[in-house]
Amino acid sequence: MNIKDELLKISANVVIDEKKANYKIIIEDPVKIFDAASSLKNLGFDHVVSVTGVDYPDKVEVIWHVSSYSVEDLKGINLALTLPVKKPERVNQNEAQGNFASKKPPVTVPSLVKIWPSAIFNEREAFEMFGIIFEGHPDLRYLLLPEEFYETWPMRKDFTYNRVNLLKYLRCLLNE
Amino acid sequence: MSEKIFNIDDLQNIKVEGEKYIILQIGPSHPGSGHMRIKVWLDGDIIVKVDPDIGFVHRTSEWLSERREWIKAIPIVERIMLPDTVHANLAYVLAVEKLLGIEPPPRAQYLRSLVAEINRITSHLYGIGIFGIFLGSSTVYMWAFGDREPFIDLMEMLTGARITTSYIIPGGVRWDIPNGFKERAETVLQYMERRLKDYEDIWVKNPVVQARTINVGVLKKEDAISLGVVGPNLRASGVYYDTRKHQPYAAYPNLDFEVPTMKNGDAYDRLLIRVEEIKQSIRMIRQILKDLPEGKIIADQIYNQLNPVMKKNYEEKKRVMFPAFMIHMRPPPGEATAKVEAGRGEIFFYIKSTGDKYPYRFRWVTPSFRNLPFFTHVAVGHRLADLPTIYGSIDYFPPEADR
Repeated sequence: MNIKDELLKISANVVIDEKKANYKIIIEDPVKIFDAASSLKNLGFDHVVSVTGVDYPDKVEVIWHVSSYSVEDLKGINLALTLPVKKPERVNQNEAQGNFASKKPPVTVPSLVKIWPSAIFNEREAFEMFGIIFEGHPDLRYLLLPEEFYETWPMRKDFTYNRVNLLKYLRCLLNE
Repeated sequence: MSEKIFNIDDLQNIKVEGEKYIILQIGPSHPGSGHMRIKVWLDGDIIVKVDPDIGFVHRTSEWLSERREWIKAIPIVERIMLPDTVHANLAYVLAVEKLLGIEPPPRAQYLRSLVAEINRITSHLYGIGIFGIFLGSSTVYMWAFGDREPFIDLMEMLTGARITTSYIIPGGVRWDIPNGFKERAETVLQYMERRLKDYEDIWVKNPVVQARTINVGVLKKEDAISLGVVGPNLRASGVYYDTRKHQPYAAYPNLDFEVPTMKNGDAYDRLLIRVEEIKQSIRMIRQILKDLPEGKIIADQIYNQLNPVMKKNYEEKKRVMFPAFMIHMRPPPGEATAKVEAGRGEIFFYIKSTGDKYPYRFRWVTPSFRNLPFFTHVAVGHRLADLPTIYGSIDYFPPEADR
């Protein structure tokens, strides 16, 4: 099986680094990501190693790193399934004043948990850190962060926190 | 026991409302759960649903590492994985070396494997000890933690620190092997082989242990693959996968070792596989000490950056001091992934550089985080009294999962 040809059938945009055994598929259209993931699973990529985002000024890149336990030829390959999503414009500037960290609108992508159940906790983490809403995830809740960080998306590059407001917030918690 | 194959829709389909079920919160400050909370829905004393609530020891290691120089991430990742420090250090350095395009010399590769295997034995002994106290055996807990000490002393002799060694740096390692290390190591290995027989008598072949672990917490092969479980837990379910074999790094391509696998995937198999891996690690340490090649312990690109005082120090004491390059390191733009088989499973690193002083994206996934599905899936259908057995058998370490 020539893995490169099989990957090129799924998407024309494939980056391959043979030396480091790194393979990357870039899907531009969120509608096609489900089909691409299904065909990867049929090839033998049976589990997700990591789901994460990479934050850029105008877009968030969602990356599913997948690998294989069952097919001998694929065990040495790290494949990154990449989906860049444009960030929505900030609608209401005034809303940002209330919380100690400024609120930013999240982005929405389809969830791949139905195909790879191993993504379930990884997608929850990417959701709270980057504000990526995975549509179709059965259990999309916050995983690691405490509640004062709700909707602040701390791993984005423009995350700033206002210490005065944070202290006020913590004082409120103490008074309760 | 969960007979059917895991289905993701089950998470929504379980109806846990109403008065029929008791909701029990185990943790977060409970000796049986460590720094995490396990929310359990019970029907009588049968577990119906489990929701692991983690994040109590989240230390924002990704956020911190993205705001520091490249070299400063090494102490951060080490302190997250305390029983497994060398592997966290090694995985990060491998990713950085791929970006920099540096290949360490053979002697450094062997020393990396040496310290990694010593660390794997301490990590497995830690896991066996914790499993012992979960089943109520204080003896094994004391034995295992006591027998960790000779190996930790070996690490101290080699690296200068007991746990947080920071031994591996881009391009090589920091110290060469000291005088008398080989003889000392051989003594420790022989001691451990004798002790493994004692462990088999009092612990592994003990009928009480077998009665409490056989057929408890069974994870089938198909489930292990689809849930993405890692490390000894994966191999106990019969999947032949080891990063040291399939994506070799350090000196592992040159070493002769086996990857033990089991068939049943229950708690007892997960105990046995750790004992087998200790035996394989002992075998590998002997090979490394026998075949250790001569030569430099640091790559030429780094060696040439040392100033005359540092070079003199390197020749006399066999110690690499940090050149200014280390703190001003700016790897060329690009991205790199690295995988390392740690004691508990596979560590994964994804690092993106924009040619800047700091990493642009620093992502890592630890083995305990990937073993989380054990709680949601494997514990369902067992009695509550089996939950500590399942928890102890997977060797879960909450600070490592929370990062």
